[in-house]
Amino acid sequence: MSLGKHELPLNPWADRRICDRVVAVYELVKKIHMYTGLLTFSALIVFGIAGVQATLPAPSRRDRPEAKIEHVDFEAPGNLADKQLADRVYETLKPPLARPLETWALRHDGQGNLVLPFHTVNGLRKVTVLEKENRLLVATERLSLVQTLNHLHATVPRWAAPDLRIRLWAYYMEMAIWALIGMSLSGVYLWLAVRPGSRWGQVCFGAGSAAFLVLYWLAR
Amino acid sequence: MRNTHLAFGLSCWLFLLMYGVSSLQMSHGGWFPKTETVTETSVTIDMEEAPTPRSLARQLRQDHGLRGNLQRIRQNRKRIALRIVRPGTLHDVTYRIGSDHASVRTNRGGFIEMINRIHHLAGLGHEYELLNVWGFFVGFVSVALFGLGATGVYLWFKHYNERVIGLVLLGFSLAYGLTLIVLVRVA
Repeated sequence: MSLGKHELPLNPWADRRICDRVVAVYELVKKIHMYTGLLTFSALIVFGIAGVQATLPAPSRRDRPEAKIEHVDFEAPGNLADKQLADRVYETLKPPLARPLETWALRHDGQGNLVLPFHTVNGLRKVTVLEKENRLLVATERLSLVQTLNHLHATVPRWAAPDLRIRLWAYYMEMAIWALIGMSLSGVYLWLAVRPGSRWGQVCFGAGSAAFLVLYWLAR
Repeated sequence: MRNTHLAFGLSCWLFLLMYGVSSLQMSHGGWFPKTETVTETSVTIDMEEAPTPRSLARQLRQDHGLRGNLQRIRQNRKRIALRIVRPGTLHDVTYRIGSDHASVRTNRGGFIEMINRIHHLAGLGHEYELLNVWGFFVGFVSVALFGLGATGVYLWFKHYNERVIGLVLLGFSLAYGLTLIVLVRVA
């Protein structure tokens, strides 16, 4: 791949070696920009879907599907603290994609039963420990695919559940975050290096940058 | 096609950069020290009739220049507490009913807090119009991402000598991404 004659970012009086170096840097940045975009294509589409989903009005609560209810036999040892009991329930149910609950997430219902909300990218699995009945009440509220993608776009290694699928996705998100930063900057460089005089580019760059800066200033 | 890619990219580059940097902050919080400042002031309130949270907020906006969405209203017989918020600034207001003063605790975020809050801003149903303008741009940038992806793939495909390595990278992206989405979804 080489630059066309009309695209050469050359200065007529510049030293030939410097010009060669400029062209080499341009070609390298262009390759990195292109390869990065292709490698993170799926993630960028997920980012776009998440943005559109966040822009559209959220579905009302009554439009959500009913929670699926099931009961699971479970004998709660009488000598465990709430957190230990929550960990025991987690070990028993092994709710897919969920992480063990922190102490602050534990709740009690009106009857004093321990309530454990396991949030995942697929929705909420709320487990109520019915100690007197020796069983667990499991209510599963499943999100739509688009809502799942919205949660996935925010899944980074720092917050990811221990599940391998989630961790692998989180690493991909981490890569996509760096790619987004890199492509934003390299995109501007590629424009400035080859077509800084393009009226089309100047208008878009000026309008987009001005819109962001004005909104940022007003929102402060 | 090249102009379209350029137009989408250059009109959104600062928004995309902001999303990237704020995501990095959320992913690696320790790398970015907090720079927010908190101040407390007392403002004069002149209520002729029995105040409600909305009438209190209206007066704070008109007379004291507080701007933003009205949130977190708490009220009992003795006092009203509310929050007026925009991305860079949170005002927590406490007013003792019958008093002629309200205390305002203002949290002003620095750059990193600001872009974090902007990142979480979306939707077009805000009371404060400025946030709806931000919401419009969130939608625009999201659609632009689809445009950037589609035109980017087209431009790559036109580079005949980059097709093999590009196919490998795009194939990896689709196989890895879609496989994990399916695996997560069926879990």
